[in-house]
Amino acid sequence: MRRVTAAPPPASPLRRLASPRAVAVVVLIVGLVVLPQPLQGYQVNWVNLALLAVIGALALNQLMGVAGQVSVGNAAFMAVGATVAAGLAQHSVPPVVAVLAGAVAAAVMGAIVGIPALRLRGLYLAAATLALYYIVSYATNQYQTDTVGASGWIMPSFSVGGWSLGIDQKSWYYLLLIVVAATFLFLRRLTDRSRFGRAWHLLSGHSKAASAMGVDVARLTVQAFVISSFLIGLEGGLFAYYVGVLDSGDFTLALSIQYVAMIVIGGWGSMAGAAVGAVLVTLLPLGVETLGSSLPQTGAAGQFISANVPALQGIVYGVLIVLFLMYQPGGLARLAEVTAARAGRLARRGGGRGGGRARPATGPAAPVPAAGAARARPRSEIEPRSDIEPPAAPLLLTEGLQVSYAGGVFGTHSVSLYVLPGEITVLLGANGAGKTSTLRAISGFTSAEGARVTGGRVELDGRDVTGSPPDRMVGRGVVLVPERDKVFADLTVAENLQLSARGGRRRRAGGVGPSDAAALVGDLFPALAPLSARKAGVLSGGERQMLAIGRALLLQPRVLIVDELSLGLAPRVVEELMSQLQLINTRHDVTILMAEQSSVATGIAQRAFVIETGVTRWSGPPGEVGDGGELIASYLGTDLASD
Amino acid sequence: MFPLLVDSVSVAGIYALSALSWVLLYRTTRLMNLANGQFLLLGAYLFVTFLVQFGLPFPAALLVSAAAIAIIGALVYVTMLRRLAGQGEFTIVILTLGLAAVVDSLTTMIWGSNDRVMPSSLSDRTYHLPLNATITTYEIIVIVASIVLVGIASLFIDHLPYGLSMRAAAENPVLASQTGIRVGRVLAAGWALSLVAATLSGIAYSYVNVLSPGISEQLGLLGLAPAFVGGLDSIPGALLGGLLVALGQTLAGSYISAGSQDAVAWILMLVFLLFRPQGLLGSKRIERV
Repeated sequence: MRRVTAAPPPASPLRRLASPRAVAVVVLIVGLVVLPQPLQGYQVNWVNLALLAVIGALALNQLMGVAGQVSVGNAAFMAVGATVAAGLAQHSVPPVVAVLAGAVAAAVMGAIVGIPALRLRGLYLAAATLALYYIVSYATNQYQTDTVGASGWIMPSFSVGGWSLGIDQKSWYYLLLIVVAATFLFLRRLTDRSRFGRAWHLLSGHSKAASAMGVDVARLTVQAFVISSFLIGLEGGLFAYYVGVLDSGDFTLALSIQYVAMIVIGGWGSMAGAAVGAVLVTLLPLGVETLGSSLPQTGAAGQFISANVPALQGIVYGVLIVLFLMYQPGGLARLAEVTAARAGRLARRGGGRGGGRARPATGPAAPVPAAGAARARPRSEIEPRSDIEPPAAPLLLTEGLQVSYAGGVFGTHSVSLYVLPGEITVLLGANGAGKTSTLRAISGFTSAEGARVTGGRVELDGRDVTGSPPDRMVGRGVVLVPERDKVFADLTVAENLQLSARGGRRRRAGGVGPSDAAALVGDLFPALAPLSARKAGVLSGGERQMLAIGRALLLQPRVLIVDELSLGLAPRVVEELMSQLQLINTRHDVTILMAEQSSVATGIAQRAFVIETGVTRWSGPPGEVGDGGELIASYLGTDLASD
Repeated sequence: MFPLLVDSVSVAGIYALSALSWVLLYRTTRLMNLANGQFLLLGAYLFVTFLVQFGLPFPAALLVSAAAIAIIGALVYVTMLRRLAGQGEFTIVILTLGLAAVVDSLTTMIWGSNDRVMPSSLSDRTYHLPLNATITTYEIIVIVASIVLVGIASLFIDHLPYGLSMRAAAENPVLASQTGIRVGRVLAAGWALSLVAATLSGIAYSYVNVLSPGISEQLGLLGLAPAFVGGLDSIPGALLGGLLVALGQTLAGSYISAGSQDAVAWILMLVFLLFRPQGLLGSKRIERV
């Protein structure tokens, strides 16, 4: 989802060896190997805890960032790995065997968690992992009570093939470094170089698409859980030996949250990010403590911090989760990429002036069609009509409208059109020409949509209303019947209509009045009456369109905007709906603006605008579109010419 | 057996209110707030502070703390979640996890971690029922209050116009906005209502037992269990789910061990998630074509 992989520049093998990236890796490795030498014992302890956390964070990243599964039960897998290792250790099982057994036990747990994941998605899966966390935590507590009691398990010294680590922090450091490196390489191989890894990428967020491409979603989901919980279990077992005394109460929900924080801070789907996140979150208490003790203890701030270290630490990582999600959703990994790219751009520009100020990713703001969402089509010989001169007093008008979506994609470049009071106007254009973007820009985007009007204006009654949210536009009498999602599927037909009766605009001249709106809907669409208790989600396409128009009418529009009325409907149904729109227009003084791909609406419209690749190309009487079909055909495809 | 049943009914009322906070949020925003427990605790602490430190009379303390937590809920939406709208439920669930850590630490810092006994503002008598069962005044009040509150919530969300707007905004915020609904306000109201329900649950628990920091997980988060058992989108389901979970816990407490009670609730929830995800009274989602 948010995974962005930096494309490596093409380079010869020799150059690649000396590339900044390779140098950085070598420096990192050397640095890591000599790291503990100058440190004190307690400092090495912090580093070791951070390394342990890196294993778990890498594993969780594999599950959440790469495979796209939600889990808030990380601490449970750690508890299983640790408890099994501790239990076996009491029976003199060799440490390596005990730790691996713990990891396997956690992997089995992971497979069990994977089973709900087969049936449950999203929130329901998160809830299931939460339930499992509590069940496991009860079981491990119970096991501890039954075996060693409240004091916890006393662990023997960890040893590998005669190398006994005891409580020597530096030996532990090297062991953990090896495990972390192995985990890193294993996951990298798994993710990047195998079919398996590619399938996982598909799985994240696009399980339907993945299964359509022949990926066995169920198997992959279970595999993701098994692999990640194996590694977290491994971490748990090592943790048990490392701390020496294991208490099952250590594996709290707060611990699970910490691991989530590591992933969020580091960056979803980035292994380096997860590792950095793990180190940061683990060292956080140290930072808070140091801050507290470095401030004068007589001062209020110093005392306060020293007295509240655990609480402050919770606040800091909680706040970091919130802030990163809100302002840096790609985490540190994305931040590093962006910074590197920016630095690279600056360097290429020869370090020119204007340092640090990045240019927006979008192209020039001129109304010239640049590379955008709009599809290229062969030009006709007709000169583009970019100078659409509206006659005096149009009801609605757009001028040079430019719509941009998040990520710098353009919806339209320069759409100019006008709608005269009492008329039916049709906006014609091929798929992707920018019709929906235009209509949505007129009726307003909500703040959540990531779409904005970035150029030009929308005017209603000569007043600039550019960028108003949809509810404001409804209040002004501009009502949209969208192309898709035009009714509330979970509400009944009656509720859909009732909703609009409440949301209507304040009374203004023209359009449908409040009292006759309900009667009008009843008259126009008698077919809806018997369906009133039905959920709108089960209606047919035609019934849905009727309901959508009825809903819109109850909002007492002055301008009714209809996006692709004919989409997916049988010709006979379209014809019927068209005549009803005409009725709404003539008898009830509702001005209509509609968008169509084909000429179905030209029969009832008084004016037509043709847009191509997000730019208005032609305007005139719809009759001319029909007659001179071959002229416009190049904009709209063959539909019009053959009609 | 009968005394156990009577015990579970009063616990059921408390659980029903906690479940109600989950259900209300789901019905009005289609989200899960993993910080629900921490806000429940915060609300209960606010109530105690108004009641004891500020010396407000019981009804005033109840109103003021409900208003305060409602404002906090609305602010959570307006300042944070509103900016994340359109980013998917996954992101928002994780954000609430971060909030849980923050609120948890804040409450510990401000109110400490000791249990608090509620000052009794009315005499808590114990009534003897047939077959050795007993019930206290507080328990009776909690049972009646939970039924009344769930009833009001159901009426409001399922039948009144504002509730209809809330359901519409939850299902499709863009279309709701295009229908003239001020979606931002409506969603903020959903958060406010949900946290008020959580707070009432925390207060009820504190009177029947004591106010302890553990309730953020053992009552607030655990409210997910009755919510799922009853059906995450069913308001009356909160009562039924509360009853079932309370019954399961009471039985587990007396026949297995006191420590097994929470686990039993989560097991019940997991069983429902696997075999009947829509719960007892919830509706199966309609798939859009």
